[in-house]
Amino acid sequence: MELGGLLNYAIFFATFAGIFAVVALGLNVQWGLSGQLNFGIAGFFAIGAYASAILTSPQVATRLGGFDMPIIVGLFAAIAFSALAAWAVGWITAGLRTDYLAIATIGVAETIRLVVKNEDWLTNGVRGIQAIPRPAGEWFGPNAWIMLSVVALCLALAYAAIEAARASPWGRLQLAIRENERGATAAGKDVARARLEAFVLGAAFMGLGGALYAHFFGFISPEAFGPNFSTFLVWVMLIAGGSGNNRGAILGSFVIWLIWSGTEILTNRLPLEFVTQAGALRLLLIGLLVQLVLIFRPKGLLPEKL
Amino acid sequence: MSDLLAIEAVHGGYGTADILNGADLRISGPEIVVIIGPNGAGKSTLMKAVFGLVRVRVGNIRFNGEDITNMRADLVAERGLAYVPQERNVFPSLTVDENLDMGAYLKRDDGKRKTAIYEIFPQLRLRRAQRAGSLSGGERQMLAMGRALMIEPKLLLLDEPTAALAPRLVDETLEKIVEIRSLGIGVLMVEQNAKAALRRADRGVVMVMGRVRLEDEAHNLLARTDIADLFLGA
Ligand SMILES: Nc1ncnc2c1ncn2[C@@H]1O[C@H](COP(=O)(O)OP(=O)(O)O)[C@@H](O)[C@H]1O
Ligand SMILES: [Mg+2]
Repeated sequence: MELGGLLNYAIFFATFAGIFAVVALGLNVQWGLSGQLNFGIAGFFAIGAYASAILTSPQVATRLGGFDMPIIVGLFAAIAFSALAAWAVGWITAGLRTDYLAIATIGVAETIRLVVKNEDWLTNGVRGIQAIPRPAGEWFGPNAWIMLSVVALCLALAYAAIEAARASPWGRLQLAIRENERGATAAGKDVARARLEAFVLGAAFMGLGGALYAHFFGFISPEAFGPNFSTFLVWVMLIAGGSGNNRGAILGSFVIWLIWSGTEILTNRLPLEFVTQAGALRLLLIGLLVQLVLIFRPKGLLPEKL
Repeated sequence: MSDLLAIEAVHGGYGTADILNGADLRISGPEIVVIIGPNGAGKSTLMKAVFGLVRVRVGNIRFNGEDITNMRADLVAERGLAYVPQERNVFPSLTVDENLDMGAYLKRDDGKRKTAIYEIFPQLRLRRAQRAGSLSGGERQMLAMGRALMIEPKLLLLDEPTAALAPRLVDETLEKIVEIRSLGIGVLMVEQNAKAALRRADRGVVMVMGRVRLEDEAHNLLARTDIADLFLGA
């Protein structure tokens, strides 16, 4: 590859990994800080992506919108809609034990995916949404540097916000609940509400990640929102990076994305008869890798600092 | 004047079977009331029922004249009732200071309450930046009580505050409880060190099989040989 090509790839890579890092930070609020299992990341990611896409894309006859709004509006709407969805999910599942919550979130994500796939009037169904604007695209066209800057800015803001939340009394309450739930109840704390708040906050960042993804590619369709991609990979990123540690979540995103991208190079060289299995093979490789990380660094690359 | 706490004919428990079978108990103000009774009598369950952690099936519980039967624990706490469970009553990875903050409720503490609590438990002040997990058993119990006092309760429920403490610390802890009463706070406590507790208490109740079987002034209970033989140890 030429130097220019390499640089382009590096920018593409960093942008994509940065988007994942925003989502992984969201999961780190839900799991790392609050101890809630969310296997429905893809659902909140999709809501954010579609919310921003519908609001910011140019008007089309076949579906709702687009409303041609500024991207910044789309990003905030993505945060708001995914937070709202999380609030509803969290409210309905309140009181479920954490393992049941996990099962419920799988169902929720699948439901969201089916809605996205089938409600053509809203999402244009399997044909997806096109012409989603790029940041400052009206002046510069799709510009990889600008997109990277936007993602980097969002990531920095997300990191700062979550670090601040973690260090606040609210964050200590989350920690207290995670390590001694009954004790927190006995201390007169509204445990259910604190949980709900963490769930909603985390989902908001997942939605933001989804919106960034939409503006990065300019096109989204239901295929991108299956469980393998956003849910499974983000969990791997957080666990490998170090759940409970925000820097770990970011590091994990970049490392796992590098490896995930690397496995594609590998599977591209597979003999023809195996090519159809490539996707499954990549998941298997990543799964193996997580096993190794868990054996040698059970708390991830950057363990939680209590 | 209504009672501070009134537990009336309460039945309830964990699943289908009742542990509490018509428990009655009243606390009229800043007094120390000790619950004694055999293991499994339902003493801890009664405290949890008052605090909304165990379902009351029949009967009712009033606090300061207000019905709090089956009220959510955080709302009970908001009304001025604090509860210290017997076990796991601190947050090990938080510091002493942060543990106390956990008790601060609704209104942020301007530092006054914490200062007052450090006055009652000076040894905690020395360890304020230390993690609760590294405290000794006695210090941990003090911290749990301190945390409970942070909500400025009118009534404090203590489940076996001296269990698992060295004898020397039992008296020290009980003296702290007397000090708490002198602040105008009522204390309802379960105690296995019944004699030592009754000596400092105003009243005592004997609970057997989910009911309060006997209730009297503490010094009367101490004087009764039948009670002594059954519940007060040698
Ligand atoms: N969480 C629980 N679930 C089911 N049963 C319980 C639970 N906790 C206590 N019990 C039962 O309730 C009864 C009373 O327990 P408890 O109130 O702890 O007694 P005490 O504090 O007087 O020793 C016991 O038979 C005990 O086995
Ligand atoms: Mg008990």
